[in-house]
Amino acid sequence: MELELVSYRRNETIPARDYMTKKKHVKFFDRETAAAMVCVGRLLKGRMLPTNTPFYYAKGAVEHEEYGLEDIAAGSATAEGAFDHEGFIKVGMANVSPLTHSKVMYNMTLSFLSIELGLTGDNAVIYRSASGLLLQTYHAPVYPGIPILIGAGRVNKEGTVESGFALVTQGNLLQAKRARDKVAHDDAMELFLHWNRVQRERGQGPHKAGVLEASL
Amino acid sequence: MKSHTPRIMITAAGVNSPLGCSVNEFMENLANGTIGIGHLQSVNAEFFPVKCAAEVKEKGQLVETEENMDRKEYFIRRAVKELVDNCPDIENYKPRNRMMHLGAGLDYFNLQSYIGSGHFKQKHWEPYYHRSDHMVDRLAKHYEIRGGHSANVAACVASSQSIGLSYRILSQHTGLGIVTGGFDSMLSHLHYMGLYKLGVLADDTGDPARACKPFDKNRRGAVLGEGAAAFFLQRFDEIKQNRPLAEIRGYASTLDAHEITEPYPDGTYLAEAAQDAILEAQLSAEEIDCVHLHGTGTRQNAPAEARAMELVFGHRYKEIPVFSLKAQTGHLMGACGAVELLAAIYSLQNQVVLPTRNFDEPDPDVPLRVVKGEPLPLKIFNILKLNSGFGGQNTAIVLRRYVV
Repeated sequence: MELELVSYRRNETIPARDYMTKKKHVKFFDRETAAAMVCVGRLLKGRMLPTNTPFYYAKGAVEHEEYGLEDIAAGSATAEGAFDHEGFIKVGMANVSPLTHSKVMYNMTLSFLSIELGLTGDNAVIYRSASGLLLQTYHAPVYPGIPILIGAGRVNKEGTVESGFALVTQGNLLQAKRARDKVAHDDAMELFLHWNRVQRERGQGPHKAGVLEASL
Repeated sequence: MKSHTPRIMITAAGVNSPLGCSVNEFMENLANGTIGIGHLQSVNAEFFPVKCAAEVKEKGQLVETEENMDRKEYFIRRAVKELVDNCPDIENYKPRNRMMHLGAGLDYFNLQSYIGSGHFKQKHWEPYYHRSDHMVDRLAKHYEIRGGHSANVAACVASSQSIGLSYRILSQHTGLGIVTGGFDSMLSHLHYMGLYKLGVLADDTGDPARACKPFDKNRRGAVLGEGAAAFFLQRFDEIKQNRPLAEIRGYASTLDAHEITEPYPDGTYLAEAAQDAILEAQLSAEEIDCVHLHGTGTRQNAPAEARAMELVFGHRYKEIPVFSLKAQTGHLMGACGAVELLAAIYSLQNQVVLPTRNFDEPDPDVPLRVVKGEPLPLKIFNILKLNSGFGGQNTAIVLRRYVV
């Protein structure tokens, strides 16, 4: 299994463009998607995956600020602080671009990555759950010689965004039973952090792509 | 049919929808051609530029919920309750052998309370959104479902993908009972207007019941709906008391990898999902008797589905009868695959393809056999159900009639 992790602090620039050919899409990205683009770019290092590579992603909770919530709220409140139905339409929603809606649609990370990588195969978007992500992966269609791309993202309360991606086989995952049991009830991002800790214990270093040994 | 292929059966269901809040009511209104679309009542839409919506109704009346409540959680609770009340076999599975996989829509955001509380001034928004994965957590806990659960959030294919995952799990494992389906309500300020700003909603300001016109030459967009449907899936040889409703024979999912708000115009990858599901069902395209399409009513969706149909069925694509439920229920987004699967079950059980409501004038660019006027009696053994969504995800499910 190959693994990559990235994390960016709240105001840190996420260099998604550096890893993209279709750079025009960056304006649609929330921070989780931007981080995912960097993470996959570092994982693949320019390699192309077969188009039928199964791809499963565990989405983290949405950062509602990215939806322009502040601008919407500012236009939707009366002077007394009550909700203003007319103001919501004529000022609040008028303040935000239609493009921002893509930042709150949960399948957009998977979708934008599929467009960038040309992936057209089996897919799913799970909300947060490590066990949900693993279940999808265990039951993916099997194509000889073609791994499965899995990923997860998370935005933490203090604003750090994390992304983890791996190329796995079902054999890797069956042998990672210990990891599955440990993190099955957790946020999917914990799965990638766990695998990264294992790599560090084996001297392969943090946040570096490496091969996870089959004996995990 | 090869004898060693496990048979995955749908053996119970529950629904809350614009066509009613029980399976019986839903089927009756479906058959009557009832249109569950009107003007928004559950949300103050006085200043909305368009106001059409398909809200959940029971006996023709809007199902009311507390103000600023996440309606979709209310609906899935009731749908799962109906399912469990009609599913004696669920008790035959120990809690660790029960699973729940549901598709869900966007998290509800209580904008009115966020502003009214004054918390918007501190940008303290976290308490005002309601996570759908937590809803699935609560449901699973309530029904002692301890074998695993998940929420799929793949937009318009969320519930289809959940059903597909459940089918795949049961295809490989015995001794499991799975509750699956989907729930959604985008009938709230932020989500309704967010979809409006993407330009996908019908701008018809006339009779709301005529707003959604799948495949029609004069179609003008989608109408948002809300609802929930839940199914119980189990292996055929594990059925004790439940009554099979239909059999799932194949499932596949693909990606367009094209644009996020437009389907792949040639329908290539939607066709690929259909072909993969038909192949998995060990069928040929000639053995599919009718197709329940996604049929949103938008300008782009219909030609893409027509191209996909041509790729799958060849010359026969203009002859095989098709149906879209969305003129009656609106677009239920994360719940559409599940609620529409119930309509496919209706077709199988009653051996009929229903007319697609509001389909008046065929579009030359969409030369499909859309049933019009009266229901079409037909021998139906196998139905293909297609869905596709924002972001380019596609799903295909092959359903087979259950015959005693």
